Amino acid sequence: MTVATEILAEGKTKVLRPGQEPSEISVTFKDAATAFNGKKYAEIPGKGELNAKISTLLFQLLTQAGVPSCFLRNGSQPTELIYRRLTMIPLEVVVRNYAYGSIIKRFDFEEGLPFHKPLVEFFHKTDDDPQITEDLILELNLVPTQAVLEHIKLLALQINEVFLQFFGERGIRCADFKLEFGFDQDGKLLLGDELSPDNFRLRDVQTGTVLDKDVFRLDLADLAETYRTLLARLQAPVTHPLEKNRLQTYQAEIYVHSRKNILNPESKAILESVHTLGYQNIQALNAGKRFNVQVQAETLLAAEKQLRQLAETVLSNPVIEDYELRLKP
Amino acid sequence: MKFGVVVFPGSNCERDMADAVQLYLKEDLVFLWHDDPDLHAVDCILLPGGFSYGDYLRSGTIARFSPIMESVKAFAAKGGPVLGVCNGFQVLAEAHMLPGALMRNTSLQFQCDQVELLVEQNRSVFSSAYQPGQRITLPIAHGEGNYFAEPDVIQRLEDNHQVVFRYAQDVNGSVNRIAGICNERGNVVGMMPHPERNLWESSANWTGDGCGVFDSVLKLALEQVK
Repeated sequence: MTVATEILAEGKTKVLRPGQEPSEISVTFKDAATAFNGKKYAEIPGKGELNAKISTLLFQLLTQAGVPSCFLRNGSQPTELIYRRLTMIPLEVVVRNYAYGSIIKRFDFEEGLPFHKPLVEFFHKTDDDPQITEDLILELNLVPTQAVLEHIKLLALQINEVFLQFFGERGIRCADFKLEFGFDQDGKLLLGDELSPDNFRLRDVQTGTVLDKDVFRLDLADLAETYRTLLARLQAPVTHPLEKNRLQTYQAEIYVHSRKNILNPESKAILESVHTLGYQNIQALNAGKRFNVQVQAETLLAAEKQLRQLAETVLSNPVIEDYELRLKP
Repeated sequence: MKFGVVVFPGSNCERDMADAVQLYLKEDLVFLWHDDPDLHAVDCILLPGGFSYGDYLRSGTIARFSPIMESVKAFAAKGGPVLGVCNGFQVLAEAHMLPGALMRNTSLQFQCDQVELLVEQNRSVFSSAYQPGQRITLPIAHGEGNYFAEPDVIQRLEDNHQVVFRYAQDVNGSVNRIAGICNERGNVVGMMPHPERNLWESSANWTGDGCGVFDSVLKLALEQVK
């Protein structure tokens, strides 16, 4: 097998080529390391392969946990991964558990301070990646609806829980990381991009040793050596087992309403009387039921699974009703 | 023949069903409590009308999760005859033993009336004593009898002759005026009208048109003995 020569796109650290199937794409990780928006640059032999390996390991971890992602399989080269082809959303989604990096320049946080709850921040992928508010994301039509934005946030927090446990069990503090999302051909929201230490801040819990691209940014240590150590620690068995079965309580709202094309006699009657009362401007009205649910689960992913099952088997009748789930992290 | 009438909290037509078995058919009867999965070796199961679990959530939903319903499903899967009347039909639909769903009547009213029905087929276990095309009159008493299913499901029901009873006139907004259906095999029947309320001469508006539903089961049993 040979790597296709046609290049679809080339970025600072990756090259995209057409895959064997139209729905697939080949991603090759380069040896280049960049920082400060490209102002600092170096070729680091072996980096591409290490990033491909670490990304594979973390994508597989997420797949096992039930997170939908672009990752399909390894390619024919050690630096190559095969992805599902996505239409990417031009947003960088940053999840922060501890204060490092840009946030301590923007706000007065002490470096390394743990946040009370994980923070999700959005940055617009343009020349200098400015931070962007949720209103602006919708205004610029970067995502189609508010619901998609909420879904992205939920997925980011679900992924964070998986990472906190995985890195935590290996004695590594997962301080922050960056994700990107996209839609597949069926319009399904999936995790895209890469999961390499270029996009994470990882610190040894005991020594504080830097295990991510900060070693390059700040000239702390050899990058390839650091990534190699990290990969070995991620592949090794658990060294710092966490307490099991830590159930957490999550709050959720499940809103059940009749499906769009189905006439709900109750809603119709209410709307008619509303018009009789003189509220002529009320155009549409759909009565539904809202359930406030408290659920115990080990993770957000597990909580969502239980709630969807509840909604689909008990709270709604799929023949005539749809439901919307709002899970509060 | 031994009949079982399932009793859920909130059932209120189980006595009428029992009379249909014991006084009309003169057969054996056992009440089956919703909490007990034991079917007591019955030959036929009847799900009566009423307001199981106060119709909370949706009519028939909570009853569907009763321990006995797993046994009823297994019984039906083996070809055992199961009839659901009114709330019993709603339970069968919620349990996915019959397709579709029963929505609020378009009138938004609880409708108590005598309605004319067309018997569409006599191949189901509970319609074999009628003639196809026969017009019968049965009482109805429901607030949620507005039968709905997706067009492809309705088409399949019609093509397979699974519509057993049809209202002569629109009563509650049901698609194709469907009043009762059966599964593909014909051993599970759900209907909104109450055949057990039109058996006795002493009843108001008596015509005896409900007898056919119960006669059908015996007719079938006798045929099997032959």
